[in-house]
Amino acid sequence: MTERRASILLVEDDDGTRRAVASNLEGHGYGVRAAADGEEALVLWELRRPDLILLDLGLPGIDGIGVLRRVRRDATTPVIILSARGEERDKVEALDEGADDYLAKPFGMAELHARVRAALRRTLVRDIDPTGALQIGTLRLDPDRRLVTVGDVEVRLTPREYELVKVLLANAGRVVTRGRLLRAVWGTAYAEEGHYLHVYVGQIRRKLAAADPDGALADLFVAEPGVGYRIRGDS
Amino acid sequence: MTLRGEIGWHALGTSVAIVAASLAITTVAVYLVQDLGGVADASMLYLLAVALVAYLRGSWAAVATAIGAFLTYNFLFLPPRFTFLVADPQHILTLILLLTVGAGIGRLTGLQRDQAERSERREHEALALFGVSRAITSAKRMEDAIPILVTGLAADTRMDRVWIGLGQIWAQEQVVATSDPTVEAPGSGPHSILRQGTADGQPTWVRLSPPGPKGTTRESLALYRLELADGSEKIGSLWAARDPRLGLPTHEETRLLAAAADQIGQGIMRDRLSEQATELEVARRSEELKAALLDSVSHDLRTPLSTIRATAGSLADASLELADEKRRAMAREIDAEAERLAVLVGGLLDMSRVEGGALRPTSEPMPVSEIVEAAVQRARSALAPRPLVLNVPDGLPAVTVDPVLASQVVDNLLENVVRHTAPEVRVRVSATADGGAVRLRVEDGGEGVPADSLPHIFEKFYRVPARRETGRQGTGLGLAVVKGMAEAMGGSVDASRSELGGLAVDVTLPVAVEPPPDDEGLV
Repeated sequence: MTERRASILLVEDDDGTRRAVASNLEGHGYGVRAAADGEEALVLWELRRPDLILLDLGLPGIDGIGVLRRVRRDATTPVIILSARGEERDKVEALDEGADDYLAKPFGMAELHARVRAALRRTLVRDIDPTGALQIGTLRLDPDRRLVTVGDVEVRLTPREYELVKVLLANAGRVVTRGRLLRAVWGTAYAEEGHYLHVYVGQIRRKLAAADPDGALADLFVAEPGVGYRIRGDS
Repeated sequence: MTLRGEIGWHALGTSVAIVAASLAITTVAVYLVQDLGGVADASMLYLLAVALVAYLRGSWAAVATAIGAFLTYNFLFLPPRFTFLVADPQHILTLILLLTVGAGIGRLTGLQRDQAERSERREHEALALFGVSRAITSAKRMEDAIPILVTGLAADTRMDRVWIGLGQIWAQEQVVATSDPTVEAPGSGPHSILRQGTADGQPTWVRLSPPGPKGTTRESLALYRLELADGSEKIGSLWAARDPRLGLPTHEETRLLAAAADQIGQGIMRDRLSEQATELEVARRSEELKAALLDSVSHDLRTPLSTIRATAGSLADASLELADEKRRAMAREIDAEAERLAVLVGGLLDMSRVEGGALRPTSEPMPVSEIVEAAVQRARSALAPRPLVLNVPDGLPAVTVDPVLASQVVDNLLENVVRHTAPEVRVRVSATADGGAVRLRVEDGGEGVPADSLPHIFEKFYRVPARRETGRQGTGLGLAVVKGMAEAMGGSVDASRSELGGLAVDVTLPVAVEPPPDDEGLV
């Protein structure tokens, strides 16, 4: 498989975790470069340009956010944040700075592989629909006709519900922070009005459920409490 | 002692008036009986007057009456009349008899009367003392008894008011009870203090004039103070005030005040000692509890660690020949134990945030359905294959919550169900409006929790006893965290027996005041 040859930059200051994760990923056929601090990470980034970065936020020297900002100046390489429980604010900041996903420590290897695979698939296998339509499973959004359908059934959405679905679908699989969603759909003045999202996502869920009697899309919208929402990318 | 004098003169006046009146009336009677009635000697009628006066005014008034009768009879009735001379020796005998018998009767009757009066005073004093000790014993604490005591004391000792001040220095005492709360207690100033153990063993009132501006005007109230002490330690004072014209407190009043001061002092010390004992007891219990918690936590931490070390040690042991399948099973065991540890550490972290006040909940309106559906979605695979019913009506008002905490509350409740129920039991998540709140209920058809354990399940590290054998063990933290987080958001928790047969946990969350955002037209 193509993704097996993908190269990964692992930035983690804890020696034990770094060694264990690196050898595990290598064992699964990934090319792994490991860095123990921000400076080393940026050197490796310049030299190697990996396909994916696993980034611990709490680093000595240049911290994770600093590394992320530098990376984002150059490229859209997927970045998965490794964060400890309870660091919601750092997590949100990293996601707002363009990180793709996050994984809470301590994580299991199976979960890590799933996230890595999903992130790589988004970059390596970008199936662009010739009409520009976005599709996950039976859910399809056609931007030209501003039409959302589940299978053959049209789902009647309000303009904001439509924008919300569109942003999430365009970022399928990635966590979209509340701030980004609000700015994209309501405008910058509403960036703090997180409760709008709860209400609108609730409405969208109900409308999709009504158009989707077999429940194939039941778990499509995933709430990341305090962080944002995502649409599952691997449906 | 001019005050005492005034009172004395008043009583003397009354006695003189009564003596004079009884003498006058008897003299008229003697005149009627002896001079008009023709009786030879009616002098014995005076003895009636003496007895009457003795009864009314005591022995000395009676003796005075007897002497008065002696003189009056001699002067008015014995020849030669209107002189104090006595002609007939027979009459001398009459006079002597009148005087001695009169004085005797008067003295005896008066003594009896004095006796009766004294025993009445003693009875009054005994009753008052009884009142003091009853007030003290019937109240659990001295401070409850004091207000009743001072009121009773004021009445029993003829004081305008009685109050208690606490403090080491009398001029800086804090008034804790007064019989007359409408009047502010007069502060420091000249007063009389009761001193014990003087020469004759009797307590005596000593005038105390503290330095400072001396009042030139006569004080409108005489102040009396008795020290409250326990052994040599001064606690405060019992104060009393009354009209100076009433004079110093009588012996009985003094004794009563002293007895009350004694009892109050000891009672207050007893209160203080028992308070200290209670504080010590609370501290000791909380130490014990902490030790028990530490025991429980270290046990929970050590068990998975032992497994991990033993298993990892075996894997690392070069001399052990292990089949691949066996090695993988061992690694999976390490992973599972590590996950158990992660759950426990996560719970401890949450608990310390709850208890350390590190939770700073945001509050935003959120539809209950959003909280519930997202949590159910996260827990779906863990809950499977348990049949799950979701009953969250559409019209429910939004609640004001911190989205992260609210999610974790429901996550923990669902985890609790997963941990403590068999895979086939029914699970129901429902929400109902309840006044200004929404009640969210997570319940199951499992074995449930015995009624006597229900009140404890939100306590930190509490585990239902019956389950200790079954092996389905929680950390004892999940529900404690639920409670802490729900309360941090202004909500509450409750546990009961579910209609489904198992445990039902309710989380009540406050309804949002802000209306949901306006919707616009369809696309």
